[in-house]
Amino acid sequence: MSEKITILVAAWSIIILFITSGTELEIFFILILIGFVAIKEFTDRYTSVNLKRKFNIFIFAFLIIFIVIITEKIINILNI
Amino acid sequence: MKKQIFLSESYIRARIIGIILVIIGVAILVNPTDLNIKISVTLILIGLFMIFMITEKSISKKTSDAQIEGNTTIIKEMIKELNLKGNAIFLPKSSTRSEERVLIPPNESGVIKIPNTIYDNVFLADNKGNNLGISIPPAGIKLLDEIEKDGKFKNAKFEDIDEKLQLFVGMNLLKSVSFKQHKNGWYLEIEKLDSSDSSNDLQNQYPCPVCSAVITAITRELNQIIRIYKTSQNGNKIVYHLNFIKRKAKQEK
Repeated sequence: MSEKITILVAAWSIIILFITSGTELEIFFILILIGFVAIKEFTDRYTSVNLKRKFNIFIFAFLIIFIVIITEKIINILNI
Repeated sequence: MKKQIFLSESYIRARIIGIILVIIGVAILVNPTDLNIKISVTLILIGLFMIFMITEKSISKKTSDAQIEGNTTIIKEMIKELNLKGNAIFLPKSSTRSEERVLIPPNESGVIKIPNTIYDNVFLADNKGNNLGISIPPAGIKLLDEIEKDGKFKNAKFEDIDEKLQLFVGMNLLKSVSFKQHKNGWYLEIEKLDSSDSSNDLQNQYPCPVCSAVITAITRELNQIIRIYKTSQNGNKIVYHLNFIKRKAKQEK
């Protein structure tokens, strides 16, 4: 299963890289995060706890990036 | 020779490719434009996934099957020698039993006598010394313990079992598995990865290790006694017709 998840993540990342090649970095990161969460949800019943734990680490890393992006946007909007 | 074996392991190949991708990703970051950052993040991400997600050592299916085969052959011989005709009854863990057991009664039909208290002993007899069959650990109990380190198969509801059993598919132990209720009881449909290991003539009495692990998982989840009513096999697909014996399970708690 770990191989299949890795292939899915690689395929998703490459697709997003091509789709967002002309756009901002934020969209790239957010789409990657959405893909990760979707893959996690779809493969959840087939994966062992160990694999889920590892996958969660990647999701949390991108979640932190997502929070940074949102915070930056809020700061820009509020002109703080 | 040693080098060939080293590189034949998929997780080692994945790790090498992963490290190369991470290095290339970091190198691209030297010139940090928007596009370069995206390419770099993609490469590092794929690299890290290859390093940390693909970590399982693998042995060929033939080798792992051969390891288990020896034990099951002895049990099958024992069943034949003792002339046991009854179908397997999976007993849950209880205060008197340290682990799940498979009870194989001597009679094929009629009233099945399940002793009120079954300990970890193998040969069962009533007060008069009549043979009540044997009680042995299921072939797949160690396999189940290995894949269930987090207590995943404990105290579940009927409706959750089918979903939980999909872990066996996810771990490449089975092609498919489904557990559904029909008119005459519950049907457990198991599709094995290949038909070569489906030639077990005692599926009713002592199912193969993976099938046994699945039935033991259900026994553990529901904490109920399960009897294999009958089995039907078509290629690598096996259908187990299961009955639950609820009353006795309560008595034994």
